[in-house]
Amino acid sequence: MAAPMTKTKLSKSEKKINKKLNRSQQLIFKQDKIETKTVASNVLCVYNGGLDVGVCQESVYKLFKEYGEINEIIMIPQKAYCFVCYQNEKDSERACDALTGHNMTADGQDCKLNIFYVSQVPPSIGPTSTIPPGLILLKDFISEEKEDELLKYVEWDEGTEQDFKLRKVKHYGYEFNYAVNSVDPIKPLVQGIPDVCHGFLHKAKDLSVINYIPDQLTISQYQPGQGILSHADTVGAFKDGIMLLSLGSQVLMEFRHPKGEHLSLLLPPRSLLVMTGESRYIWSHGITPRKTDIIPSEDGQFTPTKRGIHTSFTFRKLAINKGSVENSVSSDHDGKEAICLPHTEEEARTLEQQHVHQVYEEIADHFSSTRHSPWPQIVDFLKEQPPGSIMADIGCGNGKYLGINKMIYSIGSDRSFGLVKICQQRCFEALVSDVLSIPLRCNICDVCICIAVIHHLSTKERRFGAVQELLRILRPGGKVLIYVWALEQERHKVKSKYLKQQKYLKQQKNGNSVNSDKESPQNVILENVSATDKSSTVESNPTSQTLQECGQLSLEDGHQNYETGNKNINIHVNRTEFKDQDMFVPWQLRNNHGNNDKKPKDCNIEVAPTYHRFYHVFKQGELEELCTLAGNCDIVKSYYDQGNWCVILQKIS
Amino acid sequence: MKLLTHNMLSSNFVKGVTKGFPLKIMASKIEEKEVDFNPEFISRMIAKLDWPALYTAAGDIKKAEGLPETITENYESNEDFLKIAHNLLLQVEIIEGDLICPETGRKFPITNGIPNMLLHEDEVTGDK
Repeated sequence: MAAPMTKTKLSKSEKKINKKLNRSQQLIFKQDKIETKTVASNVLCVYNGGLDVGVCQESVYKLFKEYGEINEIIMIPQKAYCFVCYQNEKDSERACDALTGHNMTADGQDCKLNIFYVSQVPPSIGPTSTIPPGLILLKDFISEEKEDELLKYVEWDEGTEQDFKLRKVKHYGYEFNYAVNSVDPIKPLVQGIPDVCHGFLHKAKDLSVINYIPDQLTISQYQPGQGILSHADTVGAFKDGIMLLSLGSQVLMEFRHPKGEHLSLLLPPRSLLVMTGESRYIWSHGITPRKTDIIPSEDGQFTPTKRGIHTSFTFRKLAINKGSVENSVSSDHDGKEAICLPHTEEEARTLEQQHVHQVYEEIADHFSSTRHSPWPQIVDFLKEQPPGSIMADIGCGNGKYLGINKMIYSIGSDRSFGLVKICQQRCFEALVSDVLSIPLRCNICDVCICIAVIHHLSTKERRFGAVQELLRILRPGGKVLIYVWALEQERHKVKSKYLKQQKYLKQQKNGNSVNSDKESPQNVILENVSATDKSSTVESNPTSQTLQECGQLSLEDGHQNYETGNKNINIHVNRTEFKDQDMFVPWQLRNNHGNNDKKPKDCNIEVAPTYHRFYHVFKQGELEELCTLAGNCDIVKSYYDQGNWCVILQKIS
Repeated sequence: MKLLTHNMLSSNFVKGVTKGFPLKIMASKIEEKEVDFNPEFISRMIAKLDWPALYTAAGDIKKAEGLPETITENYESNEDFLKIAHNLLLQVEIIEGDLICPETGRKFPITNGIPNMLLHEDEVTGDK
């Protein structure tokens, strides 16, 4: 069935197949504006071989690889078809002939494949028309001569570069440590940024796309089919304005917002990409390991174009000062940040809604999977409660303290439906409620615990309210155990478990910040900035916004326009000491849950959004002060446990 | 949700509500789950709970049959009574339905056995 428009006489069954084929072709034309070709091409549209009918990429690959080398299989969400791009037309033709009418089993049902040739693939998987705010692409930033010069420079001697599975890399200025995604500022490399780069770096500075000359360079080289996982450069380690010079082959760069938005931008050779503001701090970027890119041709069609060797020069400016490596939250902002501490009750609720409740809802399963071991001192407290006690665990999470003492009656409460559901599945009594409105009678509990909850409240009034609410439900003489995260993560020269877990850093790819460089132009693409033309102007996209205006991470509903002089909330770098009491603490989601979209082995792109949880970490004595303020209680015990401040209160009357 | 839990619940966090107890139960799905009988434990619970509220709740879900309106004297040694209480307090589970605030009529849904006691944004007072 190579050519469906054949004029020879057809049998009945052939006619039937042709009819179906025509219908599929019309549908694809209608939905995606893709025209079919009557002569063989190396791109096949495989109808009934798509995600929507339950076919996965792996099974398409297994079936079609028998007929020749496949460059790419393009699966499109919610479509009944996929595209198979062969290296050459002959293989494509053989596959088309052999597999048309083939029965593929998906979800227990047989799908008869309809296959035909197309000249292009749909634009939805090519570059998108919009790009993340703060992103600047300067096309033809360097000349071809310069490109050659730079490429010669990276003809690496064997053994001087790191050979990754996915790419080759080499560092200048400072060694980039992939274990912590940062550099060690007290150990500069002998070789600084090569002189050959100075010309265009100064040009970038003159154009005001950056405010400083970078001091760290990573050169990466990608063979066709290699890529880099989606990531954002570590917040604390580097300043705003990460520059990426592309050499050799074009490559499609994918940008992902933590909320799920996905944009793609084609990086042509000799172009300079500058990531500033939101595009640098909030969006993550990566390169899908592919052998082709989908590129719009001059006539506006989208066609797969082979990827050659792509070399990128990534320039960064260190944000860390010598001697302050651990406190690497960038403190050199110019005070322009998106989120401030709330002033009103309403703002506080909005902040907590977005940066506590919604986050726990999103991460419930992953969070729960990391919270299995109960803390010994909390277990001891629960075990010493007399049989027949009534216990409320306010902020019970996945319920790990609800089954500790079988001789007491335990009720859990949490703000997260996802976490309460986990408690329910574990056969614990649990309900969804707020710590400031606990739906329990006054004086009903013999004992309460409230572990790692109050530090999520964003004003002192609310934290005070929570302690009062806990005391309200306690009977006179009843006890409550409260744990909050401590500002002090090191006591008596002993680091808390939290700080010690350095291995965690390996998994921590992102730390985002919300500061923006207001001087930088936002979201622009410039054509033909010639290598010598320093007078080029950079125009700002009028639809783009500053980070503060766009408010992706800020309080919505018009609350983002704060007066000056407000206190900003910074983003904490995991496994470091806290710089401030009010912080956003990133949670890197690992999305290996329920991902049944199987892909060929060399195509393991990963999207792992980072969520920011609000925390008010308590300084020594603050928790006790709050409890004293609440009154009607004695502080029975107060202690420090692995980076937490803890109190046991006894209600007086 | 077990009736023992229900006995401790209150809607006193709703604006204008003073007592908010007991919450009326409107159940559309009830299950019974086997729980080991522990007379000592159940005796201790009975001592703590509000019996009239349990009696009303049992009536709400039509399980009041055989249940005395007031606590039987010397119930600690009355195994029949304790078994009835055990079943009602720990084995009966409200899976689907509503909890209704006795003062305002505000409904709190129970879904998959989980009561949702959160207020909507417009119900939360700003001066807490």
